[in-house]
Amino acid sequence: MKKVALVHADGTVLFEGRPLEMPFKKEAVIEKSIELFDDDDPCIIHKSHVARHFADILEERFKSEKKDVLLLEDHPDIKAFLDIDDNASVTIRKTG
Amino acid sequence: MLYLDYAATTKPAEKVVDAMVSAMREFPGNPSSLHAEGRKANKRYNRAKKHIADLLGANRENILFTSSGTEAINFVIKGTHARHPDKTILVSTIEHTATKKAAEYLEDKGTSIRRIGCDKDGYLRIDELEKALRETDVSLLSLIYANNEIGTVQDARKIAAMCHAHDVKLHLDMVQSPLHEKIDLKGLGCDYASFSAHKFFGPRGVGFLYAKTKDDLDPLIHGGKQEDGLRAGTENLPGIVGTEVALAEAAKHVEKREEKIGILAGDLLSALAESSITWRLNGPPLDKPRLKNILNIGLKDLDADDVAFRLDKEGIGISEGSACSSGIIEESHVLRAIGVDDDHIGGSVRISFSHEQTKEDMERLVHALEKIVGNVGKKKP
Repeated sequence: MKKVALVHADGTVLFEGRPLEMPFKKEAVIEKSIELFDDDDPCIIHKSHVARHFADILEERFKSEKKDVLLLEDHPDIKAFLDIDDNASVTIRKTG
Repeated sequence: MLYLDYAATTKPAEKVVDAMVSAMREFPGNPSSLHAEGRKANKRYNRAKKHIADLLGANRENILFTSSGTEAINFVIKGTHARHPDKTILVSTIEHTATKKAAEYLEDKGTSIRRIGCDKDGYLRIDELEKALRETDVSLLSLIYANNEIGTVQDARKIAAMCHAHDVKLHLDMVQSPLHEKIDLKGLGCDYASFSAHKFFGPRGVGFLYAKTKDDLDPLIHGGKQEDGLRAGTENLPGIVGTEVALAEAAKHVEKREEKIGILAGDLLSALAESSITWRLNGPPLDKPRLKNILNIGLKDLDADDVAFRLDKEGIGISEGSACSSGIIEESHVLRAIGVDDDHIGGSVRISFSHEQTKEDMERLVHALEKIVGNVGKKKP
């Protein structure tokens, strides 16, 4: 999985790029950093490592679902770490 | 986990742990105290120091305990600068961060720092050193003897002779060395050498500096009269005892262990050569002077952090070699200094092992690499 896109139900592309560069919620990053390192003020290396964990969760989900498109409403654990409008209907797609 | 990050740290040997626990129980006194408990602790401290010195071909008075290799390095660089503020300090371009940052700190304060380049294998450019020694009023060359990223081992004797011909002192960062060679500090001819116990199956929190003479050093830490008045702070006796035991074990087994490490290094490179992976060895080939347990492998067009992450998921721990500085992830200055190309530098990982691994472990690593390489993200353009 080289690239992904976040696409709003109205067709707007909210993000397209490397999974590590997806818009992650700051609070989710800190929460995961605490889980992994007990670090509530992560440096760039810890933040980057957290991003890899999130990207890995996503990659594994694509694999287990055997799909290239996921509706985030069906995957609240993934939606929870992405910095997108909670009320928006968004899909995440493998694009590369 | 298949641990392949011995250059980062080693697990304290059982003998070391036992010795430290015993020392905590048996020697609770402060070695500086004159009463019976203090004298008992002081005797043990002196015995450990003498034994450590013996193991390194030095004398008891040459050893100064610190809290780490990093402190020992800072001690000698800043301590020398304090005595010779107007002189230049030389460092190589492939130093450990402890030296690199100490030099940059002094440079920011106005000290003259000159960097000596290295060739593609990481060997110091002798012509550049000679020129610097001739052209500049130098107090100290601080040089990483055995490189922690690429394994290059420098020709210390030759470099020491060059330095001394110009009345310049030589400090060797020998933090990675004790597990890999029988060390004879007098024979090497250096003036200072830094060590860290946790790199040779000893405890963390203990380092030491060898100083042939202490006349040219200012203390880094002020307070009591410990370490001949050069490094204040109550001695970490359990840690020092653990260091003594670890160093004795390292010295006792070094030849046999090193022979096995050499075979394992060959096994790993052979397995890589037979694999489908596109790679290069960063640093010297195995037949040149080097640590054979530190192999820096450049994986073409890959992202080292991603490789390390996926290996971790496979139960294999290696080092991706990136460092955090001022809020950004920096590529390795060592790999850049030896001219590793853009195609490989972002995908370079450090594999460091010990005598404890097997040929099967090396094969397991290569199989895991083959499995994940197809899934790993390309490095960011």
